[in-house]
Amino acid sequence: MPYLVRMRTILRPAAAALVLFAALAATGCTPGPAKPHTLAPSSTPLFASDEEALAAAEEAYAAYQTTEDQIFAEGGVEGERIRPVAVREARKAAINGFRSFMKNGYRATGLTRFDTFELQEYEPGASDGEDVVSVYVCLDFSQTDVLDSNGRSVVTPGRALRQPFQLRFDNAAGADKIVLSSREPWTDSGQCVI
Amino acid sequence: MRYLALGRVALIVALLAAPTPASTAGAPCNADSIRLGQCPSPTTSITNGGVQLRAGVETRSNGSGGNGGPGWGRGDAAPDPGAWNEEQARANGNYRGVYEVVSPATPPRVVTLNDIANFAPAVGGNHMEPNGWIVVGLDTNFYSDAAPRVVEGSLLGQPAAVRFTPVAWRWIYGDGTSKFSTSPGASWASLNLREFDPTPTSHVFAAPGSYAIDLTVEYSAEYQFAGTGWVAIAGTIELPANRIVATASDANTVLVNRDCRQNPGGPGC
Repeated sequence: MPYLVRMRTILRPAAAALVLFAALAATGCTPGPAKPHTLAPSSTPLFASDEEALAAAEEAYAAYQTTEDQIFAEGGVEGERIRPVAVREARKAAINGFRSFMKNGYRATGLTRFDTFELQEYEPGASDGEDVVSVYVCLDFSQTDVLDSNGRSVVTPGRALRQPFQLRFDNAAGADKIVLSSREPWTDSGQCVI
Repeated sequence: MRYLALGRVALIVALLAAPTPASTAGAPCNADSIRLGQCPSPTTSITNGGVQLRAGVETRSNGSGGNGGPGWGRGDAAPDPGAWNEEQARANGNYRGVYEVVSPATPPRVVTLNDIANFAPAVGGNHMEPNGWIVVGLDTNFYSDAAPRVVEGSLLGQPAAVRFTPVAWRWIYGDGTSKFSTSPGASWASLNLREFDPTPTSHVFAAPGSYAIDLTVEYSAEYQFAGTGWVAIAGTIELPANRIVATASDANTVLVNRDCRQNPGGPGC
């Protein structure tokens, strides 16, 4: 579908900086009216539509969250179990968290729920032929707690029970499925308020 | 939020030097910090000519592995005149800090459609009456419910909103003809017309068969950073709506809502 290609011609940060420099260098010059143009993806997109990409992201995140909940419930032991469902920053952030739990003798209770999955971007062939899917999500911690070795809750007082995050997924190493690659807090503009 | 009152550290970020997504101003929070409620959510607010990103940080210094890293990292201890007792917090091994990032609201260059490519607007639907079938020789009414949509996201590294406004509709009827309209059309009922009446967006199919009717909606786009007005982006974006597949038949038998005596305003009466 043409719009899939057209809507995904985004600037990489480095490229954006370059364009920025060029724009600044050419003082007084402003680009004329922009016409939508097409960039061909470098390989066959993993998904035929935004909807498919979103559904795959939701499935991938469910797999991640289930695994994370389980490892935290067991005090962070055997954190390597997260490897099949997280790569790069997401894996690092998870494993750091598991180690912290082990070090502090914490364990989690309850299951983290999530909802309001919303596609930010599906970018086929974003880098090295990888497809990147970015979504927004509301995480719901209302049924979860973190206890220390004495069974006392150690969550921050006033912890927001529902928080917005931006998730990124990619099919690392050309795999035929996507996995979570990063999870970052997102601007809270009330989208996760029930 | 209480922590917003705690501004102590101000970093002036030059957007021109290194565009950085506001939401990713630093290393991602570790999974334990997220679970413990120690990762702040960036919030934006309007200031004098600038977009402000503020993030509160609450950290148990003897707890998690921390959420260090540029931007998100632990802030200087910030005494809170309010309920937060800094000394007590320190004694408990907890402290909190606040980072404030101020950056210019004015984008450094002309924003183009490429820049908003990661904002995915919902495409308005393609509808037809009668739903799913066509009477050869009579008008079939097509209309769209495409409406202006505001999509929030990151633009040039800043939290921003993009407003998509539908401006034109093109139906491709699948019989070799098409229609360009600057109106989305409307249902017969909302136009106060009878079924099979001609409308500005209706079409008459001449032969029986199966037809795939496609609609493309053309949108204009505007962007807005917090605290600024809407700014138009040159050009338009064309997005395909859903395809309708319908069967056209001769009007030998048409199911109508009661007969002409009971419903004199009905089709064909």
